[in-house]
Amino acid sequence: MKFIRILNAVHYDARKQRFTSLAFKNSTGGGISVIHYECILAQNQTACRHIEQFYPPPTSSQPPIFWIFDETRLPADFTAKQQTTQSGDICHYNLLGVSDKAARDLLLRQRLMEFQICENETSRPLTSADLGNYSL
Amino acid sequence: MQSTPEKIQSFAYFEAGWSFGEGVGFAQNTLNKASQLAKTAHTLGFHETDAFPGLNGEVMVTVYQGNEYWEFTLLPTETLTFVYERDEETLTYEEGLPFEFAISLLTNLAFHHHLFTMQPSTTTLVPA
Repeated sequence: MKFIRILNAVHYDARKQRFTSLAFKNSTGGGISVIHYECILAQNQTACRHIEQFYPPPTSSQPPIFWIFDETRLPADFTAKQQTTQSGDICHYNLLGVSDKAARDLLLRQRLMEFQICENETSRPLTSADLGNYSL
Repeated sequence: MQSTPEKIQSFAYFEAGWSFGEGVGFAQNTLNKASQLAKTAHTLGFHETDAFPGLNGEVMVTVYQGNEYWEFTLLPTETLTFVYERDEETLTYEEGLPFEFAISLLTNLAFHHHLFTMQPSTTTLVPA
């Protein structure tokens, strides 16, 4: 099973050239919000189209950035609980049993090119140039 | 370019759902404490700092000095998570620390790194 985590460019640390741990962290009491990748594919959608449909971007100039990872990367005792979003996404899950420290360790091991950025309804590996012009 | 305290105060304009439908607003008290921390770091001689908004209303203040990195995440509960890295390796990860820990640590670090000197006739801190 693969999951998608949507990333926000505000969490990119240009000095460290990585996303901070705030990009992949438990919500207060609610686990880590992700999307079930195979569920998206089963609906004959691409990840980008799915994100654009159910997760409106903070600004229109910010194309969605996301990370696809396999459940085998998570701690052995994690669970995934389906929770349909208010926007109607039935593929949305909350990951439970993943500590903030474990989540941080996992995120920080990723290289930038392992993340994806949407472009023309498909996606390509993220580069630092994609994030270079972004400022809060 | 925004200073780190200015960037922190800009988080006050974030509304619920600010990150793709996720994310809550920020309590002014959390923003003020984070600003205080960033200003203290600067006063002590740490000139490379940044700040990032958290989805739960927390604020992360980061401090950079050569190959060293300190990270303070201030939670709305008024506790903080502290991380220390050297050469990209995480050497310390501590949750549930009081805010005063951050101020105390930065002050000690500044002395350790000789970032400022104490003038003999006054308590004014002077950047080295």
